[in-house]
Amino acid sequence: MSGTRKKALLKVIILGDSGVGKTSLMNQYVNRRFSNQYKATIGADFLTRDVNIDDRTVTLQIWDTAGQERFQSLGVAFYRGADCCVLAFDVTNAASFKSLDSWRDEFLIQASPRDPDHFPFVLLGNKVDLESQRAVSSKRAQSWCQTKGNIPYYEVSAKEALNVEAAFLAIARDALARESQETNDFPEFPDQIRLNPNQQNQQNSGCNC
Amino acid sequence: MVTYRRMSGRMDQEATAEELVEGAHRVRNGENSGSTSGVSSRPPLSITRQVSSIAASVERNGSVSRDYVFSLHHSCKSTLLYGKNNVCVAMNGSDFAKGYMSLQKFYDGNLSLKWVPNQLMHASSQPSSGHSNNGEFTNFWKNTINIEMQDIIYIHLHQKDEASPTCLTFVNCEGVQSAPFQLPAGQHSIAFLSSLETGLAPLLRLDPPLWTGSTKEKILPRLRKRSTAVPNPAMLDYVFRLVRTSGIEPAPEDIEDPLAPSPIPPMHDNCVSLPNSPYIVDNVDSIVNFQIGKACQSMRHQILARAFYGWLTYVRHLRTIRTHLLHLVNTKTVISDDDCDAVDDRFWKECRAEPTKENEEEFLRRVYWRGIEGVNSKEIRRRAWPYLLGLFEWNEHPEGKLEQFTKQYWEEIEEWRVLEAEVRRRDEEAFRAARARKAASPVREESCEVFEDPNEPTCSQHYDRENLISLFRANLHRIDKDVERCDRNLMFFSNKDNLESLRRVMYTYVRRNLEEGYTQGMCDLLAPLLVIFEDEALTLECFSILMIRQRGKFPQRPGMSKCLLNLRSLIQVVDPQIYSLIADIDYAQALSFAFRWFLLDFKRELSYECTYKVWEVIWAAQRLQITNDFAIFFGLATITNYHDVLITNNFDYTDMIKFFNEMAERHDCSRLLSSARTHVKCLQNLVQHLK
Repeated sequence: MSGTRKKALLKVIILGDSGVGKTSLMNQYVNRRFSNQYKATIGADFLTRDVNIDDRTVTLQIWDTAGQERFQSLGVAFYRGADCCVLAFDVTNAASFKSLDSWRDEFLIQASPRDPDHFPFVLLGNKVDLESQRAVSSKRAQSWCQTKGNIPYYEVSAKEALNVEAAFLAIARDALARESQETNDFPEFPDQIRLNPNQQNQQNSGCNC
Repeated sequence: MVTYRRMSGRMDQEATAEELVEGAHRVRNGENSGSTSGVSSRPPLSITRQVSSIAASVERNGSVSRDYVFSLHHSCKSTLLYGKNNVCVAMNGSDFAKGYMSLQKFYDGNLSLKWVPNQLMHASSQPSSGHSNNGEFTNFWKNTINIEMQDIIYIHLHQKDEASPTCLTFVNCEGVQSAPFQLPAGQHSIAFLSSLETGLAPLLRLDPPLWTGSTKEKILPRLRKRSTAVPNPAMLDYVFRLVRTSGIEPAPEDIEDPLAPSPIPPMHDNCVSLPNSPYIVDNVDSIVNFQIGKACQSMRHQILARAFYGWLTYVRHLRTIRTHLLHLVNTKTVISDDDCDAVDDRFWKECRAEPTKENEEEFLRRVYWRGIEGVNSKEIRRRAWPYLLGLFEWNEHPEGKLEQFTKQYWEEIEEWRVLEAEVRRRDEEAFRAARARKAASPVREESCEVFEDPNEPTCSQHYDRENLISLFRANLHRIDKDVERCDRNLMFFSNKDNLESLRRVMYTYVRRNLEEGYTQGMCDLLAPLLVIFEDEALTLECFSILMIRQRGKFPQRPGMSKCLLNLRSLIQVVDPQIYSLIADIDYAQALSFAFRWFLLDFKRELSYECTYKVWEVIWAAQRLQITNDFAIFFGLATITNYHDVLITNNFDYTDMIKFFNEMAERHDCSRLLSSARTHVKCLQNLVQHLK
């Protein structure tokens, strides 16, 4: 690729039920710290972090959204232009796992990406440090991912900084790979429209009225 | 000039919001030379302060210093009219040297032509390398050329053909020739001569003057050759004379009076001996007059255009106000802030002793302009807020009602306790089921949990109860999550009992309004009330009233859009420069940073102490019928307060989201409040004027 040194901006949206730890995950990844004083996110916020992937500096712009479904009508503006969607749930909260379907659907409807079947999603199961309270097994999460076109799954803990780094790096890689593939699949200038001359002739001959 | 890297997405690490604000202050205070002023394309309606403009005061030493060319461009004594590098000058007979030729005009009107050899410029730009060959260095200095144009009477221009270099020779009044300057082929000589012509005006001119070509570019005059024998027709030879223009009329209107004495004294004694021009002097005068007339005409047009656009802008602003902002303020009650004190303990006691209509007016007026102050402001707030919110009538004693509220509150708690117990039982069951599934770890498709199966109930009563419980359960979970993380940094809520109070009040409110349900943000609105009242029943009642105000702005209701649109219109009228940053984007997206502002009336943006102050003013403004939307004006003040930061850094909407999120709890609330009140007053005046 020619633009290997180009600085790319990848827009990443974190979605998931309220209280699963979206803000904590974002802050752990970007600022490498955990606080138990985060408030419920209202409106939207984002943080950015630069990562180096294969000689390329990529800026991840991570958008944190409100978790309550009622706020989603506001999120629409932020969904647009997303390069990757991180779905997050709380492994100690089965309900947050069950909402994943609706979060995913909601995102696909609102963001309407060009190729919804291959849009890069990543699933994060947060709070694995609370193993004794776990309500969603790893297997269960993985099988859900399989049914959604092999979404990568990571078990993470924002509190213990467990796997967070790796997960976001994979997210960046995935989105970047997707981006370059899209450039091939959907070049800047669309192919010229090729009209089938035979078909045209047929149509012409058929219309003699 | 301070340049901040924009903190948009990819470069936010460069500057924090606070650094940006500090930077803007520094620029404002003039610590940095350079200008931050931008010319607003649409001037605001008198309400805005303009960006402080700091004139560039780059006082540079005009002498040949480290960077000669730079000094030519940045001299306060002279203006560079023309500059050309690699101009050849014959040094000793056939020896040519390249150098930088420049034409400068000094503030006294004198022109001077300078030429500096390249070697000298390179040497002087690298001072360390100049030590070894000092002799050569002085030699170069000798070779610099400095010609005062006032001494020159003839300029010879010689060019073999179009493709060859042009030679310029300057002859002074004593007939001494300068060394020929060789300009490269092309338009360089024309460019130089036209710069010279411009520089000479208005006192001197070239004779013959340069002609203006078909596309308004300058060309050499096409003169008939005197000599009939032309050995080389392509060869170009010109002699220009520098002659004094005979007199200048101040305006073309005075052209009828050619005898008016010339206000300009002769420039130089040498000029007196100039030979007569073959052109008729009157003709030249008319050319000069025509030019001046044209300049005046153009100025007149520009002045008219500015006046017109100013008027157009004003009319447009007024239209914005008429169509969008007319009902934002009430002009019937323009309440002045003359000699008004804050509400203090003494005044509050007076009010309670004599709860007259006048006292109420005075109370509201004081709250609006000065707020509630004093050592025991919390105690005054505790007593005054229910009146301010309209929970109690002004002349009412609260005791009876308070008792009734408390009784009712605890009864309601008894009622929902039963539901809560059922919810907890089901939560426990669901958790056990999930654990059991995890232990067995079957890989199965997702299915609904047993208790959510809607096919179970058989009679409608049972069905209603099921509905009630599942609805209450969903709300309880949401509330629990938000209560747990509500302002834990605050001393008050680090106490578990207070968190429990918050939870109880929230449960009770949601039980009362189950259809509306719990939406994130409600806890934020409730928390300051609980901190002030420290009485759950009273908090609930006041919160219920507050929610009547705020409910409209919650999701799925039109209030928020209205707020954002009004804010947008206000920005358009008050600060067109900021408006230009957001004008092209959908308003909901452009102003998404203000969503939280209005949802919570700035509770997240300010400290608790400041939140109290702002809320009081919002409520008082409504009670006084000044405006129902003081919050929008406070939002406007918050934006215009950071005008410099937003404009200097050319923020887009994502930058603004980040900036305002970072600025949370760091605003100067008193300043914003007084600015917001000023905005209200200005709009009131404008609306009154319109009516």
